[in-house]
Amino acid sequence: MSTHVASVVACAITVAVAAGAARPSLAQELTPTSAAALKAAVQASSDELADAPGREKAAQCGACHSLDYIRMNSRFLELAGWTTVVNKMINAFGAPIPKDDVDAVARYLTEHYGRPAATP
Amino acid sequence: MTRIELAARGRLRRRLLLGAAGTGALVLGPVRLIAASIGGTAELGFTELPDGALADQSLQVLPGKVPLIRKTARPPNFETPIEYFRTPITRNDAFFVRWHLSSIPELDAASWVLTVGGESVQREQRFTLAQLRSEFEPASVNAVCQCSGNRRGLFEPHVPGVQWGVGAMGNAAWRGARVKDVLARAGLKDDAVEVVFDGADRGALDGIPDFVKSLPIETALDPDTLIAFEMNGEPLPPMNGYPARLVVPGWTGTYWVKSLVGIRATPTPESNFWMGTAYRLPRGKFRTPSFKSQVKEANEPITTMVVNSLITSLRAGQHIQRGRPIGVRGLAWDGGSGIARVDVSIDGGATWRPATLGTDLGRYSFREFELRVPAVGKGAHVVMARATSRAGETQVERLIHNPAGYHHNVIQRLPVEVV
Repeated sequence: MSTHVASVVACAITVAVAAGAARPSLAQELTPTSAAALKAAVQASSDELADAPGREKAAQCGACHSLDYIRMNSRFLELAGWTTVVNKMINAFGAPIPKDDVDAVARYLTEHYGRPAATP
Repeated sequence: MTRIELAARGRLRRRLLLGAAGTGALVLGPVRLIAASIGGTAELGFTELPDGALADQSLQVLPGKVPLIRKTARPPNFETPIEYFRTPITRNDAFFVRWHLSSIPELDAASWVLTVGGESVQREQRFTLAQLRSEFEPASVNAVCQCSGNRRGLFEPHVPGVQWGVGAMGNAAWRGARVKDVLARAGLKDDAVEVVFDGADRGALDGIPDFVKSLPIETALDPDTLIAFEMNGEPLPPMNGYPARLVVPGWTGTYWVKSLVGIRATPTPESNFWMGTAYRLPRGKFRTPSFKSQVKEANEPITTMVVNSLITSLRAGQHIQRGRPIGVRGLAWDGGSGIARVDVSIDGGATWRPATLGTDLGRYSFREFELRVPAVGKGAHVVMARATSRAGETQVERLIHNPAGYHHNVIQRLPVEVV
């Protein structure tokens, strides 16, 4: 009775983007739910994230949602805030991120998408 | 546009023009449209969105939609630009889009079936869309659907979540079958405490909690609570819950389950993540009604909307010629008592004058307001609008901060320059 498809949004087009880097289209960012598609989404997410240690672990977020969720919540969360968010994704939403990765993901997000550290 | 909307618009415009002419004031043409922006909130006189949200959002097109402000792509969360709030009814193709889970089904009206069951009914029933249309007395209501987190991006300090500006809301003429009638056909039992509603959306992974919401039995049985299959006289857009969604007038958007597929009456409170953990407020911070079967020691579910307004005719820093009126126009709404009055100030709240209200489209609807205030002195003027509901609630001067960023109804302070 229903088909779960990305075609719902496949005709989405970018009308205006903030000046700067081109962004993947909406259709690219939406994923079907197959294992292969989720893996592809994680890979695409990795390409989108800041290139630094921890990127591969943070890219796991992209299995379930686009990375605008990360950029949107920047730059105002400190380490405690990002740790809370990552734990919520695991505990409440069942994100398949190993507990051992929480700290690395939260630190990566804090450094690249978090509140700038106060200068002494 | 629906007939009621057109009629209402015509009446309001005539009345406002006559009113202005009658007092000898200058009659201007329609309020000048301000070009679509990408949804910054400082230009409306509010706190600006977080840097990341402001930099990342853009206007994008979803199927059947005009360009909307994309907050997130997957799941899709798109906000309505302010120019579409210059009418009391929001166009279907401009209505905001909010999904929690990234697997959104494309439902076929011909094969869609709504299952009505649960422990608190005598016999499970299944209804096709044709049955829903033909076997129940149709009901209509004009009602605002506003995301609980509308204006979350304006919270200071910022809180995580979708960083909405002012456009996670819309007002439509909804038509459908009453939930109470549908439950009656299934033989509702006396022991029902809550009614649970399931949409067809799913998470990308099995572990993600399905989006399921419940209502207190008395709210579910309210004659205005509908399973809507029409929005402004048209089928619902897919992104707004085609072929049928729940409409809970007065209550925040989280309860308006889209692409409804299941209804379940139950003698016990629903305890899933979306009821037991998410969409909750600290107890005692707001004067909205309690969802009694869901109250916990520290928190309780969000319920009805708080009174609010939005000025749509001005932008921050706008220049206005001295001697010309400052045209303050916008929308006001609340959680279902209706709007009693909107007061306008052009001096930062030192003095207030009552605005003219537009046609009453019902107590759950947006209500237009307008006041033209002569700009006498040169220089900066802070324009404000403050709505008061028939229940006596009024907008707040200072934000009532809460962890999830709900119920932002701080009075707008919009600076303009008289030159």
